[in-house]
Amino acid sequence: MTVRTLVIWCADWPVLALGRSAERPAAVLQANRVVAATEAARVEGVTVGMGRRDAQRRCPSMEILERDLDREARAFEPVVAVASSFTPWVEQSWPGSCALPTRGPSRYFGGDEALATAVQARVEEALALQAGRSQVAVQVGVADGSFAARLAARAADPTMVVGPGQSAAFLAPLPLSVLPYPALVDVLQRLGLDTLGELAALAPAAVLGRFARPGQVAQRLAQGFDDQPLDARPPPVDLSVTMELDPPVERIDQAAFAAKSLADRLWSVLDDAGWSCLRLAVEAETEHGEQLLRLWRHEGGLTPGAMAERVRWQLEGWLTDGPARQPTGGLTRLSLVPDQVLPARGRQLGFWGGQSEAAGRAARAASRVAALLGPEAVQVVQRRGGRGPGEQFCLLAATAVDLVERANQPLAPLAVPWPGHLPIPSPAMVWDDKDRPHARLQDGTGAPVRVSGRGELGHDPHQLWVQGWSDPVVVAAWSGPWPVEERWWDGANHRRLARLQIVLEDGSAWLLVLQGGQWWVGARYD
Amino acid sequence: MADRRAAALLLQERVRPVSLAEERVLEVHPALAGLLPNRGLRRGTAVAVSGSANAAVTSAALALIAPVTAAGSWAAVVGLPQLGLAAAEELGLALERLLLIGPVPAEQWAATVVALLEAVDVVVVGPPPSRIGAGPARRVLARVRERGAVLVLAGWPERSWPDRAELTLHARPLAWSGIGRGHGYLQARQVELTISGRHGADMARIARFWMPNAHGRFALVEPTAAVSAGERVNRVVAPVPAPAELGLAQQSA
Repeated sequence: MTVRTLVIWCADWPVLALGRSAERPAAVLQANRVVAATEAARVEGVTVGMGRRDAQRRCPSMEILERDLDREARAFEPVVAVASSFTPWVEQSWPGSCALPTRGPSRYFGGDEALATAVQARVEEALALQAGRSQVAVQVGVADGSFAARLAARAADPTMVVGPGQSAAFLAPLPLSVLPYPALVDVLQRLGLDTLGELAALAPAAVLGRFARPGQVAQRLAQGFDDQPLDARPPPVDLSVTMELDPPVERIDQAAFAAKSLADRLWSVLDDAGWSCLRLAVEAETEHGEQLLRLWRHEGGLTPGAMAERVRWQLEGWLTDGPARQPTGGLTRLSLVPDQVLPARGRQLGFWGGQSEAAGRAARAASRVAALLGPEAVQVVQRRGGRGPGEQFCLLAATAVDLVERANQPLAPLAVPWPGHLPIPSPAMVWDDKDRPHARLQDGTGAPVRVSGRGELGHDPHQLWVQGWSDPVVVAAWSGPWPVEERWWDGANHRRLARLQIVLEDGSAWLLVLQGGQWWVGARYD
Repeated sequence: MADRRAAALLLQERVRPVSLAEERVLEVHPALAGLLPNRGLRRGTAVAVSGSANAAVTSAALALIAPVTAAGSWAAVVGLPQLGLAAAEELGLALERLLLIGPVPAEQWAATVVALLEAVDVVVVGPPPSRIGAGPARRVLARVRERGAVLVLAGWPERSWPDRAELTLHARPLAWSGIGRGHGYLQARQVELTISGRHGADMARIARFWMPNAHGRFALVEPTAAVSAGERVNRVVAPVPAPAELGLAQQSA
């Protein structure tokens, strides 16, 4: 059954929620990818999904902001509060957009058009009241099913109503890229399908046979049905969990802590019963009897972490709201009510990876260590090109990348070997240019060994002394020098150096670097 | 009589441990497996990697953990800021499952390693900036046991770890080949590994490995038929090639 749904959509919410004006170029990034940009930035060619450097190249004057989901959720709370005044069944899945069923309110306001106009005006008014916020374009769409309503809201100016039974016709000309499954869309496009209408027209059995469940869901969406799984239902027994808070909690971090343990409890209750939660109601009550109820929706089933996060968003929005609606007392009760559940089939992990679980744990451990030692303390490896042994990889802060995503994508080898790189095997210890120890390489007479402008050794090296050693050690074998001249076109970064492999009498092997008339230890073949 | 025998068999079946100790191991390189008790790194233990004059320690530690990461586990390296990532990759390490942590102050050392042990199967720790006390070391070891992980102490000075390691790999670099006095380049190196320890490794075993060989990998020098599972091999020695065969041409200057 497809529910007639109204969707409120605030365009570019991640960037507007941070108080940026649509006229000035700005973009919000998450893991170095643009997730939202202002109108002014889009005019310059910045699109969602673009990398940070690419975006900055297109629009150098653009302000770059890091994503702040908590703040987005907090700023969105007034919108949800307004929507709740029309019907209590307001569903949120992500800050920036919420949905409500129109059956009751439509009848009250005299039709979908009247309801859409009223909702749009009231939400815009509520947002305009917030101090320091620039004009936000509020768009409202009404259609059968939340997927069609979402797309209607995006196309709206400022409201759009797709008549009952018209959803399929409305969706048919839209491109496949509006579907939330990028990998599947890519395959479908390569098979020659361009619009939702073409996908909808295929034989359902064939789609199911070829693309299994994701294909079936995508086709149902294209046909104008709701994206809700068919077997979602209210739980057969009361599965809600409640926590009395005594003494009352006034601080948001305490509430969030309570929410986390509550979410863990609910998760184990659901897990025991074999359900996964699709829609969650979060109820909070204060000591003066004020109540706040919100519905949260998640397509993939809510995990305890995701539940706790949504509770925090909701409470932050409420507790930090303006004095008019802010609760007058501390929270005394918090309950989580699973509103719609479906049988947990377990998650099908990727055929090649199946690493998500371990990677998720690694990400949590990384953030714990980062909390202990500083955000840059834990690093992961990224490949890049380079000649020197330390230049072939660079390190990124683990907290800034999605480890789960990375674990399933092995570091791709370079397509072609980097010209002029050192021969295999590579040294097992590599010093940074900043902290490498200096060295003295001497010939038989004790004079320093030099390399001529033509890249030839002046004299055979006889002994090597490295910073920190008490005595020099006699050289047993050597090879090189290999001169390197890099970035000769760039005055500031121009480098000229020569590399020399040295084996000492004690069996240790070193890579020495001559730069600026001084020998340095570049690496050790440990 | 038959009844008693059946009862005894039943009892034997009942009291059998659920997972045998030899099943709870982390995979190691096949060339190394024959030299280790249980053919792998026993989970929940600490392994020390040392070297003569601290040589070949990094390579030995990398070669030890590479198969573990390649099999899908995550690994973390703490306090080895000079780790050569290109060499690690050549030795077979899956870099996409590697967390790197720089030198950690002594007071946060235990907390850091414990946090990492929640998520990874192998933690390689370089020598700490100052001595680690018995308390923190016990805490770390307890978590290693609880999580079934393996702690690799790479290049720790003698007696700086308060406990005795389950297994000790001592590397003695022999000779580099491929390089001469002004010609060739570093191609391969032989290292003699001495493996000793407790619980089935009481008798030291010695073998020669290429570390690295000409492809940057880890390999046994001339694997001999004497190495087989469970057999107590005291000394596995391949014929030692003369320096001239190794290409280490000793030219007079």
